[in-house]
Amino acid sequence: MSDVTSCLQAESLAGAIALGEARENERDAYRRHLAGCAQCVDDFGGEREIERTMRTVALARDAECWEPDLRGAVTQRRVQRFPRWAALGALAAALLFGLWIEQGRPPGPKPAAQSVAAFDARNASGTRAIAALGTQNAAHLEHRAESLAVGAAAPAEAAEPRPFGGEAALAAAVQNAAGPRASGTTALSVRVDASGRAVACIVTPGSGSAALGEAACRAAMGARFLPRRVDGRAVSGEFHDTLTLGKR
Amino acid sequence: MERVCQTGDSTATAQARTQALVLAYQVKLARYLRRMVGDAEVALDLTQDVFFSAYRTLSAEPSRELTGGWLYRAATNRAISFMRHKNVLRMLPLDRDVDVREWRIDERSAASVDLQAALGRLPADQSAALLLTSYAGYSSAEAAEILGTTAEAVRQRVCRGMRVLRKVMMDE
Repeated sequence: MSDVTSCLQAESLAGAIALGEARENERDAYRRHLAGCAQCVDDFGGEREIERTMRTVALARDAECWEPDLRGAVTQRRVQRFPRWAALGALAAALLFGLWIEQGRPPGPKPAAQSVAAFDARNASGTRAIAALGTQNAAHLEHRAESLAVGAAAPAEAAEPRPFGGEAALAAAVQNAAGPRASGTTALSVRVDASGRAVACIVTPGSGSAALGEAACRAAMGARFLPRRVDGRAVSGEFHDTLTLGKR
Repeated sequence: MERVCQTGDSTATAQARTQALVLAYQVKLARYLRRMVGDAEVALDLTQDVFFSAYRTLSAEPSRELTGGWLYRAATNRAISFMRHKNVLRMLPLDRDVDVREWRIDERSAASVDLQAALGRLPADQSAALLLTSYAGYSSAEAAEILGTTAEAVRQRVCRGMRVLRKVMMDE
């Protein structure tokens, strides 16, 4: 196995996976690395774990409802340019009056930060900016779709065996074998012959509890796989995966 | 006389073009900056700073084409230099509590609070890499250009950001 991926390389592979930019061979390289490196299993988690973590960023972005409106403020600013210390003053004010802000700020200028109050659009009703926002979101989605398409353009040749029904099916089988309350992360390597049968299973030492590892291998040995294919011919190969159970 | 008219024209053009940029990018940039610095007031101030410098650039070079990347670069630089100065204020005891409360009120989303908690623990260059890509929608190569580094480095920074975020989510 050409297993020379260092932890630093694994880090950038994990970053590519997080961004949806990883090609299939990069994902394979990442899985192979995790199969031999409990530290990275702990630090980064498997692919689905990374994707789940990154979903938080997308959720936070979509939940965003702050729509400041600065139109006209920039030309105003030409007259009323205030120095850097004023920004720090504004921050101090924001901190000191945080409680007050929380209870709903009454209209009128804000003490100690008058220069900021002129531009403050925190309470602006969102309607004005919605049109602009709509197009921005569309542009954003387009952008994501583009980068996802790049990922999907990777070669179709399966470099490694895959569980029948996908990794999610295997994860479900493992959860089933380990019991509904089982949780934790485990990395495993499964040797799959040309007919798609699992012939051996190894858990990465140090990843997850022994009980979880045992259950994962039990499930993997009972699972069906699509064998590795080279030039259209089924050959034996090795499947690597990192499973996280029970969280969220 | 001729000259005066021309100056007036280019000022008006610069103003119109700046307004177009404001319209297209104000919400994006303000949100990005608020995530970076963790404070809405400061974010607004810095956002304006960015548009003001766009305005000055357009006034000086009317033929210049300013892209979203240009604005994000200006925003990132301002956020990073602000964060350096802000460390002085970190000593204020209220800091973190107020930040978190404010975020809850604004978004009422656990994801939002998780993300902000993670960003609060990250160095600015890692926050910027994480936000420019998965938040603002740039690819690692585009983000690298904005940050003046390589796509490889951006991916590594994203990974470090992701690790901290993962930890925050597991700890709660």
